[in-house]
Amino acid sequence: MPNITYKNTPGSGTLAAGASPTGVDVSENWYYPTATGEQSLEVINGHLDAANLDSSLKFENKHIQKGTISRTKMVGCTANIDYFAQMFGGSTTQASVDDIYDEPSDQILSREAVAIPGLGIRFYVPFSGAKCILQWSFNHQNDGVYASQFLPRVVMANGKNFPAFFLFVDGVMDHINARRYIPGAGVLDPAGSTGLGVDFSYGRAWSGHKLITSMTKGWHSADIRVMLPARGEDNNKVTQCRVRTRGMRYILFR
Amino acid sequence: MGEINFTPFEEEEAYTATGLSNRFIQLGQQGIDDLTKTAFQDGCLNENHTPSFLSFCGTSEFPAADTVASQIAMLGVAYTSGWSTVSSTQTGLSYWNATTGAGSVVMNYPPNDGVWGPIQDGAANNLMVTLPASVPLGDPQFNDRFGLDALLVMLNVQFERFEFYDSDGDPIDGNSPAGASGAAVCIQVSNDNVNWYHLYLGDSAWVDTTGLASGSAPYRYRVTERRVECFGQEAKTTSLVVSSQNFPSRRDVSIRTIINASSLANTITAQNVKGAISSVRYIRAVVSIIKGKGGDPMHDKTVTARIRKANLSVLALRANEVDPDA
Repeated sequence: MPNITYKNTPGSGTLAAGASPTGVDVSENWYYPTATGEQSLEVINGHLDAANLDSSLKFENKHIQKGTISRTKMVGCTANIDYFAQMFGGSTTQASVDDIYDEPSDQILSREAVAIPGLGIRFYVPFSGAKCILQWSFNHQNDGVYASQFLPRVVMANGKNFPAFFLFVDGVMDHINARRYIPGAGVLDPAGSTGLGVDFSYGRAWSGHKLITSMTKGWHSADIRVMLPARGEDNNKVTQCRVRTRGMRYILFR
Repeated sequence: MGEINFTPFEEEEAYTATGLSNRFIQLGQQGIDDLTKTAFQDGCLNENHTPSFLSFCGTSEFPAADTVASQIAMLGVAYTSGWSTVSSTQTGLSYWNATTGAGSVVMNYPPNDGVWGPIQDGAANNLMVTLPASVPLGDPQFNDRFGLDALLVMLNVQFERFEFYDSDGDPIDGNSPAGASGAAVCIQVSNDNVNWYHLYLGDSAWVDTTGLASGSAPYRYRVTERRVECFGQEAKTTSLVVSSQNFPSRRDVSIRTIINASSLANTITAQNVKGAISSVRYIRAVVSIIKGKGGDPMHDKTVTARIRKANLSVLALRANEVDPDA
């Protein structure tokens, strides 16, 4: 559409060879504003589109302003960060219902969860309807006890001494990205194997992702939160959970 | 072409209709209507001028809702590799599907390299993303028009537990029945949602010395494959799941991969020849069960995996892999 079709066609009408164009005729071809602008050189006032491009033209990266295509940022920490049961007084990973899992829902578990530094990010979305990829990674070790070390050996809290982690987006828990793990200190299992303390084979790593296909314009937040059971009277407790190398990043597409 | 090459009016030159017409053509049809690269300043384009870098994105997430664990239908889906005592062959989602006895741990040649099944939500839905249309990645005409050269795929899976049963179907516990058993996860592609293909790196020099594998050589390396192993106490306390004394596995698997023209070129036919498909529309996640090689012989046991959470995302990028300056 914005290919120029002059108001007064060159070579014909008043601009035909031998004709006598008036000042108005010439002026209209210089500047004759219309809705689409294609009747004069006024087309360059914001009316140019793909029709004006040479067929061989391919834009290069340098032509595009920074932040136009995508935006991204990452946060992270390498120092260990420890969480202790005292921070989560009264919370439990055992449900009152007696089923084979005997565990609460993610919604209930996540009530006590706290955000982990290095696994939280706050970012601005300049485009309404933007697509956003969140990605995070960390590993952890915990000392939740599976079975008692003294005879008679018993499984503690039905084996529920585990930490749980949750993705929160704008303060709302995402149940797809909720993880509950396992006791990190096996100690004694019913088969009689021995071994005290944290067993590193029971540590877990999580490199997760979340694709949000439409975000509103404005500020948003995403963070991974942790909760530990802390009901000493029921032996449902993770005394300490160490979260190691961690990072969270977002990639935003318009 | 592409620039305004304006011929100035000279002194004493009359303003004739022809002279004016020539200048209008120079300014308009020869200039503004055929803009080239040099007509644009660096940084002249912003979000008002450019399309989204994504021509499509979609995600599939299981389970659909939060609930207590015992009510998650997804945990009811059993990904199982068993054993037929009649034919002495592997059954179900068997990774080492050519294994016939305790002394052999063998996989058939592609495309029958293991039996794989889709991750499901317990309501007959597969963890799959469907593109709006079939995409012929690498087709120059398609790429020139849409600038779509690759698909970014992201997968996360959390295995809940592994279960082990003897030939009578009784749970095995108390010892170490696993023998390094576990599961493998892969990304598969399809153009019709019927025939599914692995993404291979290419040919492999490895050969089957047992002679048990069926099909045509060579073996191939699945580039998206990730494994988890059920280890130690995770494996020993399997049966305790029925006595409220969980010690599950709860291991996470993540896959990040790009599907491009090369990926499709390395899909293989039923004859183990590359180039099975040249377009893709469906992407899914699949699982196969690995019976362990070590410890007690596992070939005639049954191994079952359960999955608690899974999400698969696909992003169609406008990212041309060709050097723009070439």
